[in-house]
Amino acid sequence: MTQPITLPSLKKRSVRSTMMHVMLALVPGTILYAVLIDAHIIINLFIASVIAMACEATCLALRKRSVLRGLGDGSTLLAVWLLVLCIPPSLPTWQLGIGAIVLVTLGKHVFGGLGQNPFNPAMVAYAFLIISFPVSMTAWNLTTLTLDGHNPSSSVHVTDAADKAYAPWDGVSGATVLDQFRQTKRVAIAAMSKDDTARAPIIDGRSERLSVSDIQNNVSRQIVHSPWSWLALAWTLGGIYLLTLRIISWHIPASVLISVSSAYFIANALSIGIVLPIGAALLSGGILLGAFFIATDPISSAVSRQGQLIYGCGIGLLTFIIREYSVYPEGFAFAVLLMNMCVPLIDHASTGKQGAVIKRAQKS
Amino acid sequence: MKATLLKWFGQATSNTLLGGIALPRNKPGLPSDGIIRTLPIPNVVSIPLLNYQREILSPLVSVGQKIKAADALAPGIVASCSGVVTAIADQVVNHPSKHLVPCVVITTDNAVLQNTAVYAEQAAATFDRISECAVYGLGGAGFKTADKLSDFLDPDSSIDTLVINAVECEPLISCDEALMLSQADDIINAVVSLIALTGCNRCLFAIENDKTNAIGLLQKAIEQHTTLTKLELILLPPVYPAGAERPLVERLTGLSIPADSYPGEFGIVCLNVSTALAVEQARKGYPMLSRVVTIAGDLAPHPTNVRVAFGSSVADVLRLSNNNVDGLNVTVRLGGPLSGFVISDLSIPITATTNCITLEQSNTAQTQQPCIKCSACSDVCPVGLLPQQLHQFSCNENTSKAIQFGLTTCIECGCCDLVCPSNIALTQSFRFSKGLYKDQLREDELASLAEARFEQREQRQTQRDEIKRLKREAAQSRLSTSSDPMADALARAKSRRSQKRSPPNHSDEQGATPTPSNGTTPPKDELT
Repeated sequence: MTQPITLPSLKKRSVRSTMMHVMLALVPGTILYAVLIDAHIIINLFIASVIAMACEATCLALRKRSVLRGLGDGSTLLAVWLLVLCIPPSLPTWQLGIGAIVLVTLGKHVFGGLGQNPFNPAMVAYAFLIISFPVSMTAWNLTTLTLDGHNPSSSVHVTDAADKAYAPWDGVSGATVLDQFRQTKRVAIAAMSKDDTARAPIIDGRSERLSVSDIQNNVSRQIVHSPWSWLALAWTLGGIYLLTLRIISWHIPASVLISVSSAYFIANALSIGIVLPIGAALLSGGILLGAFFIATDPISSAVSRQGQLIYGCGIGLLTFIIREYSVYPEGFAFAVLLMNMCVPLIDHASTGKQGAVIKRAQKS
Repeated sequence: MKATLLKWFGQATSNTLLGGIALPRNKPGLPSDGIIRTLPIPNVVSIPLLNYQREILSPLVSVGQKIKAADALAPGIVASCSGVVTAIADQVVNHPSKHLVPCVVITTDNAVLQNTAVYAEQAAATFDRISECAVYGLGGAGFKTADKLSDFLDPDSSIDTLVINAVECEPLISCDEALMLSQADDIINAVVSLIALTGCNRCLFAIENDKTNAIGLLQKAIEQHTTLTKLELILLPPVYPAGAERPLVERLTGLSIPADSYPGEFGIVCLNVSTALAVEQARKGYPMLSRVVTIAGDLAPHPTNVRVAFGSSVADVLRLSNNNVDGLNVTVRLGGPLSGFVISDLSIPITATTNCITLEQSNTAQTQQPCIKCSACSDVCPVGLLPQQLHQFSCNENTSKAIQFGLTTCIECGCCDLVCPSNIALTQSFRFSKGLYKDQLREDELASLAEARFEQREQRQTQRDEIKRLKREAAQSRLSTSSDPMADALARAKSRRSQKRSPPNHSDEQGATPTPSNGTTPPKDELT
């Protein structure tokens, strides 16, 4: 067996260094998350990593593989990190542990370990958790969320530490802004269809009618001004870092973001139901984190660059549909898993430049 | 605008190479002084009886026969030196497969490389002369140059472009550069006579833009020919593997050549610069008996370019060039560090395709990790393949799928190996897969031959049956038409007797015996 060729002068990337770079790109966003939203994420990250690594070591030992090499490639750590970023920091530890175990076992090792999993392991674990523990998975420790755009301090929600200190409660949990938006939307639609003021949505004790554009504007303003938009910026910076290092290519993030934006643009332009404005839609939820870090997982995504464009577009459109029209508040994980299923077909169809030449030759 | 956009998004434009790796030149271990030493001929040389299509040839010489340099050893193969044929033995040759190939072993009687013309100088090189002088491509594939140029000599051909390939993209090979530095005038003369010979409309001389010394010398040589309007010197950025024929042709002309056809079918003939020189030498009457080989690598004691007689073993070449590696922990690679392959047997003879001997560190086996489909390999692939997919198909021995994804167009440049983060020996698996495909093709061919034989046999059988049936019917009809069979039989006997008396008529007898219509086919086939 001839060994692969190496030149001492050429800096070669290894699996390990690839994963390390991705984790490095996640660091600023994670620190920002801990500072702005909830410091508990650091503890979660630690616990989940330990559990996942232990599980990984067990799986490798059972499969008679080199444990050190398997743990050293960093793929499990990265997947667990992404999972922790996707779930609410308030998730009970035992549920988090189950998530980490599902990630390693059902997400990765049942298919044959690194490089063999057809689905993104972090998203498998996320889907498992949100189906198994829907309540705790949608309960976020929230800061400021109102739908009418009034001064948050007048609402029941507690914002800053000073208020917290005097308040009789430690914190308030609730649905994400996306979830709240959905609830309001449902009521608003029901109200508008009957044109009955008595059934108008009651928000924060007020029973005033809110028009569609009012709700959109209020939610949009709050999303843009919330810490989540800073986070979105941090994920984008991380993504740009990976793009410049050529660890990820532009194809998947660009196609995801363009397809999501165009779906929202068309829905807004045609007034199909009440949907978020484009800016708010991109900044909220996990779109940017997903576009740069989750959808770009090389193992479960399409192989060829053309295939990656199709894959990314599919994720974007499915995210829009699931987010706006399903019972789940965030659709990215399901969109990724659904498109993972399509990858074999996409890979079968996209044979690369040379394959296309051959196909043309066969036809003529 | 489009070009800028495409460049921005990392796609190929017509003049940039798709994929490839920009490698630093002037690495340690690269001989770049342009000096070519001629090595003496070792005591024993062995010439493989193998043509460029890798078919084994039957020898025209026998053991004990005395031969002169340039004598034919087999059709298309000449002796590189004079001496006595001492054996015709199986040996490992210059190929990654390590197959044993019969070689003519010659014990030489003259250690000096022949330097006199064998044939008379011609005004213009002819097809026969190039063939006679055994000129083979000195680039990489060792294609028979006469066959390549025959496209030009065919009056119906529409060939208009001659490409002279001086792009030596491997980071440690400098044999063509050395030739250009030492014989720039000869090279340009060769190009002039090739333009005259082929009657091409334009000649593209492709060279990397970092070989500034060679470019300067070539330009000076071109200036001496004031009428040289068809020649274009094209400077290309140094990217590996820019010198591979198909990527180069695609880059220069924008034509992408399918795996099963040659550039000649698209009006282009591509010759290595040293092959062009060899054609010119053939015109002057010198057969191709030697080539320049680069000895390089960071462990080479004396990196150098040497002129070596064909058939000298790698061990002899290393010994004679003061690069003895006996007892050293050195990996010997035939070919450059990227496209070459590691050899363990140093008795492999030098052939037209051996452009470099690389001496490098024996690297400890890197652990191969699973493919993470990072697509780094498909980004560097110069022919636009998806190596990660091909690797999967190769591992599953799914050859038909691999062919569908363009396995046969792989030029085995090794770029994918170089960038793979999981240290997967991709090129090796493609070589293996190509071997499987070739075996499969051979089996298919044998099967279709067997089928054809069977059908022919069936056909003969039915024809024979048909003749028998006709005869039987004729006999029966004769019996039935005649009212008196006895009188009939007597009449037949009488006529036969009268025929016997008359001089024998050969053709009649022939016609009387039933022969199968395609009687030319030997009945040997029926045994199968």
